[in-house]
Amino acid sequence: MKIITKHTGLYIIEISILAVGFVLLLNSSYPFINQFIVLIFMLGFYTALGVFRHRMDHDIHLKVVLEYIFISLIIALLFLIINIGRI
Amino acid sequence: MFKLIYHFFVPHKGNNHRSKIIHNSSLFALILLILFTSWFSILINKTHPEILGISYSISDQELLRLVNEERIKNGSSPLRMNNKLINAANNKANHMFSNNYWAHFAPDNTTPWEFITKSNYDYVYAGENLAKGFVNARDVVEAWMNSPAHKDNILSRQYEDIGFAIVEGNLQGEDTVLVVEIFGKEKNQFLAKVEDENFLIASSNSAVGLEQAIDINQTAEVPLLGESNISNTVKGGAIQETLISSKPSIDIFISSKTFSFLILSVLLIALILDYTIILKKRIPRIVGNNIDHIILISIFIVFIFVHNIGVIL
Repeated sequence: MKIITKHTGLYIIEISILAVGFVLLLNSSYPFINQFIVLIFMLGFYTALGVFRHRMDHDIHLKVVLEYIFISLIIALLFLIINIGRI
Repeated sequence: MFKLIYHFFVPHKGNNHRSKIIHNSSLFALILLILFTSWFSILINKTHPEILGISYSISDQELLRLVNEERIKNGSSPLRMNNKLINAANNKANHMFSNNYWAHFAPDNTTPWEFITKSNYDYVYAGENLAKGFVNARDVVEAWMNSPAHKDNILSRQYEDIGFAIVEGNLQGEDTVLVVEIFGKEKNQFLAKVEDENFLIASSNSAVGLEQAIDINQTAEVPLLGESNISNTVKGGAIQETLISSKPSIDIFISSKTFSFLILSVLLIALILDYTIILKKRIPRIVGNNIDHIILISIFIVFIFVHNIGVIL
C-alpha cells in the first residue's frame, strides 16, 4: 500500500490517460491503423511512466523494463487479435 | 497438477518469490503463443473463411420491420420500400467502396442527394443513415436509435419511403458490411395525392398523377453494379429481400475475445495473488510494479467486453 500512497498522483494520471485512450479506441469509425497507433502511444506512455516511477524509487533494472515491454506487447497483440476480422 | 498451479500462481522460494506465470520468461512464451495464434487465425480466416470468420446476417426486410416497429411505437406511419431509393442506396454504397471513404459527403464533393436525384426520385424531403461493421439488423437499428440525429431520421413524419443497401466490401483497408439507409418523400406522390383529391372532388376521370406515381414505382429497376456483392434484385417491379450473411463454423469475433479474456484473466489472477502474498510476507524484490499491470489489464478486460466493431454515421 505504501507505493500507492507514495505515487497517488502518478496513478491518477496513469488511470486517466489509459481510460481516455481505451474510450477513444472504442470508436471504430477511425481506420484500424489509426487506432493501433493510438494504442502504441498509450502503451509507450504506460511503459515510460512505469520506468519513471522505478527510477524515482531507485529500483530500476533491465528486467523491470522488459517486464513493462512484455506486458505492453501482450496487450498490443491481443488488441490485434480481437480486431482480426477487420484486418 | 496442484503443485504446477501453485508454482505458476503463488510466489514462494521455488519460483524466486514471484508467480512463475509473470516471470519475464513466461511472459515471453505467452507472447510467442499469442503470435502463433494470431498467425494461425489469420491463415485460416483467409484460406477457409467458412471455418473461421465473422458471423453476420443482415436483411433489408428485417431492417424495414425494425424501423417501422420503432415508427409505430412513436406514432409515425410505417415507411414503404421504394425501388428508386434502393437504387440510390446501392449507388451510394458502391461509390463509398470505389472511392474508399466513410462519410455522407464524398471526397469528390458528391452529396447524398445526388444519388437520390440520379435514381429519378424527385424528393421533397430526404435523409441518409449509414452503418458499417454490424453483425445483425437489430444492432444496426439499436445503434441508430441511440443516436439523436439518426433517431430523428427514423422517426421523422416527413418521410414516406425508404431504401436500403447492404453491401460487403473492403473499406479503408477493412473488410466490412456497409448498410446505407435512405429516406424520402417524393414530389410526385405529393402531387398525386393533391390530384387524387381533386379527382374525387370533381368526379372526373383524370387521375393521371396517381397512375404515374404508381407506374414509376413499379417499373424502376436496380441496375447491376459491377462485381459487388449486392444481392438486391428487382424483378418486374417486385422488391426481393436482400440478405447478406455469413455463418462460419467458428465466429472469429467471439473466439478472439474469449481467448484474450482467458489470457488476461490468468495474468490478472497471478498478479493479484503475487501482490497480496508478497505484501503480507514483506519480501523485498526487484520486479515491475504489479499495481501498474493490474490497472492496465483491468481496463483492457473492460474494453474487450464493451468493444464493438459496428459504427454509425
